[in-house]
Amino acid sequence: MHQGPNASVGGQRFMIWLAIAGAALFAFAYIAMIRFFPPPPADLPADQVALLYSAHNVRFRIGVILGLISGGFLVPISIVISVQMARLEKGVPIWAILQGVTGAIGSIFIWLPVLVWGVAAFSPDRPPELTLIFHEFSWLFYITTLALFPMQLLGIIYLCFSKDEPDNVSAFPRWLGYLTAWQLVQSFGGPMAVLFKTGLFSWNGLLPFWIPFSLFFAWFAAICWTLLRALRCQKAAGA
Amino acid sequence: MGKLFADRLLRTWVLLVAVTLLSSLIGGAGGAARLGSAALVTVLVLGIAFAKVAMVMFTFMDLARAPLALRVIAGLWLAGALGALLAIYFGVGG
Amino acid sequence: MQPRIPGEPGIWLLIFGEMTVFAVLFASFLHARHGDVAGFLAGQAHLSKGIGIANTLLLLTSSLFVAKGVDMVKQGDSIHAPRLFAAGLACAAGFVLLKALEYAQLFAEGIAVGSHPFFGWYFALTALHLGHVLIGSLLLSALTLITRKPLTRPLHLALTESAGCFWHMVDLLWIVIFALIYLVE
Repeated sequence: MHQGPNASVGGQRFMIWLAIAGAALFAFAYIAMIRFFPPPPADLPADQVALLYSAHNVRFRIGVILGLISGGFLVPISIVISVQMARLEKGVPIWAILQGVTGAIGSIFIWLPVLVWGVAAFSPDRPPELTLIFHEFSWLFYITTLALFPMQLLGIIYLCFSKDEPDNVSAFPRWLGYLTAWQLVQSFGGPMAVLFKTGLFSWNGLLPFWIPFSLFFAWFAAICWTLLRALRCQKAAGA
Repeated sequence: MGKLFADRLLRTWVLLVAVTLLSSLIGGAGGAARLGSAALVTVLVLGIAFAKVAMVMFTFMDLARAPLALRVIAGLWLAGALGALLAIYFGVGG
Repeated sequence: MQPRIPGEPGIWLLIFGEMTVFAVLFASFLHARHGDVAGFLAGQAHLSKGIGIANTLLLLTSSLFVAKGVDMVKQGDSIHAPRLFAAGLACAAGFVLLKALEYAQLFAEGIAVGSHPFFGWYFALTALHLGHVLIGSLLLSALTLITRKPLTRPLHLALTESAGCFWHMVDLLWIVIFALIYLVE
């Protein structure tokens, strides 16, 4: 068994729980405070869009603060995934680097839209059309994550499929590869939101929102679980 | 054994091509005029399409030899999707 | 005969997951059509049925090549297997070319996504499917390269069969899309 970087098991565990706590706080801020779940319809007229930000303005802005505190949760989990990937790679761990870099930059799709929601809510009395621009920018940014996430998933898929026997000490069982591959295939539905304002392909529709969000949630839970399980085994094995 | 299986694939393909041509004669521009009823055209066209899907599943994907659970899932998808499409076409439930 | 799972259990999560998503799309398409039958029929008249038929035949044929290719891999035939996958890939390229031709014809007529709900659905369904064709083509390209050497590890056989099943799914989804978009009256 080739041994990659020997990062501390405790440190990796801490980062996983940091990511889980961040995701939980983000979900609270997004669902309960910002209340963009389910998303507002993509064809909402400007005056109603402005109302989304001006009504309950203080609650909304506190939600933005909480969202910004927690919105980077993808970074620590990506680092741990990379460390675990590097364990299995030979030489320079290029798949681990690709995953870690795209995961860290990809977190921008989570926290930057929240910041723009804060900008939209910052001046509730500006003309509604101006708020609409920030609104549309932030939502399309939030939904079309295609530039980075597929590359992040690619390395994970590769590692899940590159080993013959499922290895208890590895965080990448075969089924995780298929789950990740499904997420990769479905991530192509997101950019359709640029073309449609109503129906299943708009940013509040099945393809750009509901399926990718459900799959991301399932994937995040799954990989946290496999990582923690692998770390437990690695600690027991004294690796 | 291998040869027999290969023949099965070829037979399925010939059948698939034949029913594709048949369904394209039935459906599409002016099909209703030829058969006298748009609903009949739709039932035939969808029925043929799902029969083709079943052939691809059970022969090309080799689900015919898969465990029962997988075949049941495939059957449920076929029945559920075809049933839903026909129900919606005929306006069941508004 | 002992039942066996084609490929690996995991690929069926992906395949039936995708098929369920598409089934929802198909049902929503017919639901939208139900509200505007005349408009959808007028839109359908703009499509070239010949291209739809040719594309269906191309995908059916590619599926045959891929199924035979997987068969050859199982028999350890590293001469014919890559050729069969390459033939499947050629059919896929033909499909993409015809699809591009059909898009170009519609654009030349001034028709785009926003022209009518029918075309919104047409472009969305076909583009989404085209994305699957491209992913499947990447898999077929990989198979063409990998199977030039005999595959002996069970993992590689399972992955080959899984990739083949993904390609059959691409074929199978198009069969329904073809019926719904080009043929339903």
